[in-house]
Amino acid sequence: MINFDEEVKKFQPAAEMSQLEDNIYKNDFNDVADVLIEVMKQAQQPPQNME
Amino acid sequence: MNCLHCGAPVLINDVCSVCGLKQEYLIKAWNTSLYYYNQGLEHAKIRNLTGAEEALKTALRYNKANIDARNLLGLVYYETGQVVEALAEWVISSNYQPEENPALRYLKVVQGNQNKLSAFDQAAKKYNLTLHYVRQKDHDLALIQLKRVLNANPHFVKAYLILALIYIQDGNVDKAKKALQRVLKIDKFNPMAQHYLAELGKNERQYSTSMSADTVYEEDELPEMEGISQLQEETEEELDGEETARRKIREIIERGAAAEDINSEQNLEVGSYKEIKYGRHNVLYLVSGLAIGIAAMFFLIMPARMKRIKNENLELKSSYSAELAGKNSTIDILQGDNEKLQADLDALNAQLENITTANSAGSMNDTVMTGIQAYMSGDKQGAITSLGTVDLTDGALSEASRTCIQTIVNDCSEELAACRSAGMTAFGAENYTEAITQLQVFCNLKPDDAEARYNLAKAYENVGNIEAATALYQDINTRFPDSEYVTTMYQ
Repeated sequence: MINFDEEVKKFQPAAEMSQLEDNIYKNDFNDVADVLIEVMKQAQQPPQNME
Repeated sequence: MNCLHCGAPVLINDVCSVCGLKQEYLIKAWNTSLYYYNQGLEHAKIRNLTGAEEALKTALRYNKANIDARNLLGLVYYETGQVVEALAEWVISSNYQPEENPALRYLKVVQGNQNKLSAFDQAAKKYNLTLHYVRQKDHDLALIQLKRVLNANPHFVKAYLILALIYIQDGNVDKAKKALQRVLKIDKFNPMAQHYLAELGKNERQYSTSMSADTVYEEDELPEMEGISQLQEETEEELDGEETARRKIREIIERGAAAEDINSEQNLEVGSYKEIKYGRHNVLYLVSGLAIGIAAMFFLIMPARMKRIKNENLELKSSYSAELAGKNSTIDILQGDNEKLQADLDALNAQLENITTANSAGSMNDTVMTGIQAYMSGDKQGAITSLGTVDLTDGALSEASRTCIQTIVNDCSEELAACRSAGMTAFGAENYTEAITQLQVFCNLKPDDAEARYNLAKAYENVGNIEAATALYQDINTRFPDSEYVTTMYQ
């Protein structure tokens, strides 16, 4: 059986034109190259907790 | 060789000189991205838009600068009615590659039609309002809003899904199925639509029995999707290679956006709602009513009125004619009376004249008698004074009287000379009244003295008795034409 309330919860509000700019900024995710650069940066940093 | 990520030169150990990335990894990532892009493209070709969306998102995770994947993702969003998401993808794509990028054209086409863009925005807002109504269990209002949403954006898959869900909840299984079928026409393997349809197939009786009787809508309340069937046919065709598929999808977008007119009146989809413009109808009814009223007045009221006015005029004319005839008769009678009275008046005037003449002669005789009596008593001056009032040239004077007076005048020549002299002296002294008195006596008894008569006329003229002066001047001109006292002015 379809649970109406549960199904309705799956629906998210649609983006409006005023949210276009936010939508563009949110879309700036990291791809593989960004992840690799981040990993390399972390690898080059000296360990912080050297006891 | 340059770095695939930043474009800097690559060192001999296959590492970028700037970002330090090993190109081997990048090439692998790019290849994986292309693999998912191809997968997404294959899904898009068969209108599995949900599958295409997932694959293309994955492709972008491996390489966010994959322009083709991003553009195709935008197309998929646009096809499912998510216009803002589509625009966002194309804007980012055009940012990565500002030239020779199809996304620029998509943006131009979509943003070029502001009416449509505004309609999409309104549709999104109404959809959000619909979600609110649905959560409030206010299904009637939600359905009204959804109807508007789908009129403005007939490819809005999420709106069809929520519509189907409401129908299912309200027990309208057929309408729910119809809405879900429309979802599947846009997105052939939409998992939610398939899930709902499967549930309806399994438990149709249960859903139907829970149907509430008070929610009844027209069969054609959903907008027709004219482009969908064409899209379906196109996707079912064999597409030769990747480029052909991409071109086809771009054409779909262009048809969806560029075929729309700027004019909002003509901008409606086939089968979409069009508000009845009651204002325009009211004006039409008003004009029609006025026209009918004027026509009725001309064809029904005016002829009767004209006839009545004509009859009234005829009656008035006949009454005036009768009155005129009566007046004419009266005028004839009065004219006869007038002529008779005029004749009577003339007769009476003649009688009066005779009586006056008789009276005048009587009066003259009395004066003559008085003068004679004065002369006989030795009063020559008194005789001259009395007889001086009688004009010897007067025709009314009898011959006997004239002879008698002439005899007395001849005997009283000294008194007359004194009278003339006094008159002339008074005239010379500009005592015209006295001059008239003396000279009038003299001239009456001595009518042949032109000089005396002339001076008398002058005296009359000076006192303003022009009539008497004129008579004297004319008398001089007639009787003494050769004298020096002739006045040409009165000839």
